[in-house]
Amino acid sequence: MPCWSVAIQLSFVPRLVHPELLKHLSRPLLPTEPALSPEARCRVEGDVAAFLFAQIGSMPTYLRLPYEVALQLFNLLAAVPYGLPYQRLDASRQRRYLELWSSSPLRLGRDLIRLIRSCALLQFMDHPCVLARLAPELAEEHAAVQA
Amino acid sequence: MLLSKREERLKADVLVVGSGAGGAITAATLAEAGLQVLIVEEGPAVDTSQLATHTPEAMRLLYRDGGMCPILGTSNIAFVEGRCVGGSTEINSAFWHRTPTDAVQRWRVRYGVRNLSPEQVADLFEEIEPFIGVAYLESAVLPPSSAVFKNGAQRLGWQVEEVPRVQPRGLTTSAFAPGAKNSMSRTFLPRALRAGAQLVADCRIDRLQVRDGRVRAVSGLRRDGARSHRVQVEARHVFVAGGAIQTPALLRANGITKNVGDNLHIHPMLKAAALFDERFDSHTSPLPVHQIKEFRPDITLGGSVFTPGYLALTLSENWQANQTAMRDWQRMALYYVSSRGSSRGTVRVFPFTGEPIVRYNLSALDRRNLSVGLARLGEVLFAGGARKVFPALRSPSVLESPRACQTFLERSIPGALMSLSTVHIFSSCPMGEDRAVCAADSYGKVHDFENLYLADASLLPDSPGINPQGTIMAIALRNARHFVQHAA
Repeated sequence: MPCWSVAIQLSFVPRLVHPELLKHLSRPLLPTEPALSPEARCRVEGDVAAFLFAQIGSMPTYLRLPYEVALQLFNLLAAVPYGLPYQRLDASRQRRYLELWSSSPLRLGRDLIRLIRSCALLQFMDHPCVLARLAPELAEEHAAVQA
Repeated sequence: MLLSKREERLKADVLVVGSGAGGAITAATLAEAGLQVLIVEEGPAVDTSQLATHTPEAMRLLYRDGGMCPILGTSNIAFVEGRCVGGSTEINSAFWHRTPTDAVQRWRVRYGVRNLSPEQVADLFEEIEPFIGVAYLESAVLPPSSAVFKNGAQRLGWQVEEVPRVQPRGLTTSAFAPGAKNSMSRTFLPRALRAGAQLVADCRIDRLQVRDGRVRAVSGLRRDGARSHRVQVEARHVFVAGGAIQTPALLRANGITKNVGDNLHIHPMLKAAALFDERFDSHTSPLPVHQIKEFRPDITLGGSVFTPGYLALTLSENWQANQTAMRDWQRMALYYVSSRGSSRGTVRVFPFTGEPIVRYNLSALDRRNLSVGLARLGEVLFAGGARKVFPALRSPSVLESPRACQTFLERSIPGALMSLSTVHIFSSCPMGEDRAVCAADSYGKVHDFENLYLADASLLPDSPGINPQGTIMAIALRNARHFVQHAA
């Protein structure tokens, strides 16, 4: 088996996105309810970004690489309408730009955001801090798993 | 992850690759027959007795690729399978079905599977069930989400039944709670180990050296902390039980391609959330256990695992319109339509990475069945008292009456609007004597090989139309017994 194949199996292929970009991508997509303290909200947003980073990293390499390239393109193409990459836009413009891609007539554009949104919502709603507000009995179970 | 120069050598009479439903029962049967059995499992050994297996963190530990396995096609389909000791039996809903008679007869007639009759298959189930433990929920703990489903079906005069599960008797909790399933890691794997089998986890077999119709050598990569090293396995016989995707991927990556990975069948699934007047607290109650069989074999309707996260996932297709529905999450439950896919998918191997590429294009019949199924699902939920139904579609986002569901009977939903998933895949290496389509013979021996066998869902010639765990185990037991009698 060629050495590059072994390298890919051993996860030497570098990541093309940073959790910080994923935090900017997921934050506008997260619900405002239940209301969380600023500290809890910050922690949840960080954990959502970390979860996204791990999940995207878990994808088969032949899907992950093009997906991460597409995320970077998404980031950079925001400069066309707004003059800045997505990561540097204010919250309102980030939301508008995300909505533009979410409702794109192109399936690839919609699917790019769809994956982020679905993983972010799953992790957010099942996060122990959120569950503690929604369902304390489930929060204990999930916290034990995370431990 | 660094590659160490260390090389490990292992030896056994029989190598079993994979520790799921097929691999575990195969290993136990062969070990109890006195053979020296080595089970090699790609995934980790995780103590699921302490773990709720439906949480995001458990997904990262137990699911292949963290659950990020798409089946590519005209509509991409999310697929999850286990990658851990015990395989998908550690993460599934644990529903238990016996193989339908029509499936057995079809396999015999259409695919030429010899010596397979409904009576023989029933005998196999009679043997497996007392050991593995198949039970119904205690009636006192029947979840409200299941009760409304059953009531709705009965009001409509539809055939509905409670499905037993592979679970401890007297279970009063969700099938995804810690220790709530009699999975392979609790049943046939300990049995195999008691009979002398060895289990090596965190080891992915990737090379089968083949010459003159025999597998001469097997090797793989074994994780050992932050490093990996190669493992060479010497075995007289090799059983591959990696599942309907990994088994054909391994075979094809090693040049074994005839009828391998060409006949993939799946059960595409469409989910829906339903809102009721009363509080269900579905997150704490057991999984809904009723399935509607009125539209068998092509359409099954049932209930799904529930957490606020899974609810949000189902609503996310129309999140802008649906997010306020989350406020009523305690009055909601999740359900699904599952159809017996009519199309044929493929499993191939990506040339640069060796990773499986799975493709399946929904047929017009698949879309029709899913559309009709969604109409029927809406109908039964409203009959059971639902106020709103939120299908996992891009449009429409919500159904507010039985009449709104009727539109799906008149016109199939375009595949591009559906958010699809599946947890049932099979038939990628069908067994049978019809060499035009079958990869293995009537007992799982790969055609034109002397010592290579398959023992998982890939062997089922086509879709059985039901949760396949029991069928996989029954066929694996049958084939392992045949091996012991004729080839060991």
